Amino acid sequence: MSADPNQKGVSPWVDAWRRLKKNKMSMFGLWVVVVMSLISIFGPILPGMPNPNVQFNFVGAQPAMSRHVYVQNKNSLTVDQAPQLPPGYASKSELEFGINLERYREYRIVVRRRKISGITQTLGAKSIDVLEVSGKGDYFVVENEDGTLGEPLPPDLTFVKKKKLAKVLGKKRVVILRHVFPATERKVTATLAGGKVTGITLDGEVVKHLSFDGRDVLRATADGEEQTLLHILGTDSSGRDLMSRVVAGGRISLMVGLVATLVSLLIGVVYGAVAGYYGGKVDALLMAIVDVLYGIPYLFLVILLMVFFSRSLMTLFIALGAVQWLTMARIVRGQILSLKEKEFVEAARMCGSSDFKIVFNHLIPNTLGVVVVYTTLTVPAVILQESFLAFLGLTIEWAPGETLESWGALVNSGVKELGDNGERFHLLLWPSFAMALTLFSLNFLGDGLRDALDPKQRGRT
Amino acid sequence: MGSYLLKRLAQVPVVLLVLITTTFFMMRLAPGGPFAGDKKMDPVIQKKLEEKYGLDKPMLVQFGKFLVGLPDLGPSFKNKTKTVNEILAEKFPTSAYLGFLATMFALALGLTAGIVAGVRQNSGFDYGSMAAAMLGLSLPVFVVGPVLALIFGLYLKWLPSAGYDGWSDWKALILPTITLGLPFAARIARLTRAGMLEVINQDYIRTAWAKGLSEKVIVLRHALRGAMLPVVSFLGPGIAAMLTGSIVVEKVFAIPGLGMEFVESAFNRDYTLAMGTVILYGVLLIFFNLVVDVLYGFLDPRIRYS
Repeated sequence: MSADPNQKGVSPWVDAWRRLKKNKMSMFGLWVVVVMSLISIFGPILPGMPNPNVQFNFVGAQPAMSRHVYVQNKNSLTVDQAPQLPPGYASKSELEFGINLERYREYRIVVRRRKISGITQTLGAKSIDVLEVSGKGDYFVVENEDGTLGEPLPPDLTFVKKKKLAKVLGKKRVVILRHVFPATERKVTATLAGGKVTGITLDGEVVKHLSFDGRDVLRATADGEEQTLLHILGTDSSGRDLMSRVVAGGRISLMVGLVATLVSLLIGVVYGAVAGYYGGKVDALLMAIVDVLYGIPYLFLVILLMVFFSRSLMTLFIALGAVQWLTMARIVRGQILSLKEKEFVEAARMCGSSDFKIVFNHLIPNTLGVVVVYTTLTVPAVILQESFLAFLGLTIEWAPGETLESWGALVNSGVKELGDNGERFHLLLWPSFAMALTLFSLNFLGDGLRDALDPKQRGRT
Repeated sequence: MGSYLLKRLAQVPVVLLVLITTTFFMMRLAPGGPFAGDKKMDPVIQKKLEEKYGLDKPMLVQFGKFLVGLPDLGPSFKNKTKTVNEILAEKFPTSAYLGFLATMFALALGLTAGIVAGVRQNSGFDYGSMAAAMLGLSLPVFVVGPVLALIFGLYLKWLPSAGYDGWSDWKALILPTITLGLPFAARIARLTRAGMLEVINQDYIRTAWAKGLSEKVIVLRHALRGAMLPVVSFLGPGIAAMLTGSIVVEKVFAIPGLGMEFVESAFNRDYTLAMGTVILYGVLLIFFNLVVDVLYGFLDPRIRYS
């Protein structure tokens, strides 16, 4: 290269950036990483992002783009009180629900000496004399002790008070019979003012209080608008919105990846720099320690650390960082070994700089290129390792019993809930996709950075 | 060469001793013990048990006893009927067999893809295979395994999706081999490609071209030797880890191997079994690293052992 006096000097970082920009895959990686980070940081507070922990247990695992009526598991309306409905209803003035209020009616039958001595309708404790069953559509079911439905009774059976029941009821003393109806929709309207319920009607009749299960609500409108909740990526088996869970999981995964990498960076760089700078016996001893630690399987180390301390986020950072710093130390040591022979170190020493200053002000900044590359490649490695810990059940606990669900944990529960024929595949697909895309991008970015920062490449087009 | 090897071999016991000591005390210092379960144990029984296994003695005495007892690793704390040596002898062959198959698969796939990608740099194959390799590194094994089992085991019904009954049951090992081998192959492919790119522009390759050798000879005989260096140094620890089993693959495909024992021993604080697996891994690691060093000399004649 001929020296051009007018040519401006370019810092190696600008040069590297220029080279990185030419690498399409790395730029793709960079964009994905930036977008993923932004989503992780701001995603949970975006409007329209459902709370990842709200369970709609009446919804169940639903595929992507599914909608369901926007109500809670338990809802109630009481005149002169605020409605117990999801937020968003309180500001409306006219509500209308189609509710399947009674899908069954239960009867408690007391048997004495194999004869029925009393029949009571459980709702309202109404006493009944005669109970008849028509053969079509209606049928009775004996409820087992644990509350599950038992065998349907023969449809032609008639229960009349005191008639012999030996065949059907056996030796039971009390029998709960359930009369299951085909679904019938009942219309509920409510008017609201100032966030409080002012009037409720049930099929036109005025009532004071009404409570209903989420599972029974067939449709809901507020001020003429259909109230449904859209789940872009579907829901998990507990009816929690998958997209918001993936976003929240990314938050944890990326945070773990980043912080654990920083921990490894801190230990590794200082350790490697000291070993490399002092050399000789110090170096031999420090590197021998690294070699021995390399000999211990990392999983073992992490498990021990996780049991040693509590299963907190901090432990995870330290445990994963403690495993990763070994390679970082080796890399930095190698760099420092060759750098310390350079003239600028000589010059610094001439100026009377202390060892500390030489290492931290002169040597370490010069290893930055390699460190940046290795850091970018460590983050995905840590995220992957965290997912293995989640697979082994070593999830971190936020509060007692409340686990933090990283991508790894989501993927793992996706694997577990796959179903015998993969019918809940979306639970595995979306978290895996988010995780794989991010790791893929980080790896490509790290690769591109290595090419861009590699001094051997410098000066070539 | 001979004296170098002897010197390295002499270091082995020292390294092993340090490894054993570190692991022993690290594990003992961790809270809990093999008999500290969820259920409260009668203190008398616990005392008797600790006496039986020698846990009531000072730690240094226990450590001395353990060292003197080697290579007998003693009884397992959790599996009452078997000694650690018996457990290792039973589980290690399965893991090693699977690990061997996976390594072979990974080498065949990784080397081929890496060589072709390196020789045809910036070609469609290069981009495609490297993207695939990156994907292989980015997907957790516990996703790949169940998905493969779902496709080939449940939908297509070509292969069993889980279980293993011994050496002759080769069909059951196909999916685990692929699952275990894929990330390994991805790494090998990337290293081979990088090694190839490094070597392919060097003078001795230019000389080979100038001599009029065919591309096949140049790539396979001249370039590959140099390009293999980073791959070989990765393979040392890599193979040691492969042979001692992967908990994930063993769990997903229900294969009774060492990986599962290892993780469980760490969780259960089964001191002796955990020591056994760590020592086994350590020995394998040292052995394969030694093999790597020797191989280096064959691959790169510039390296001299002193």
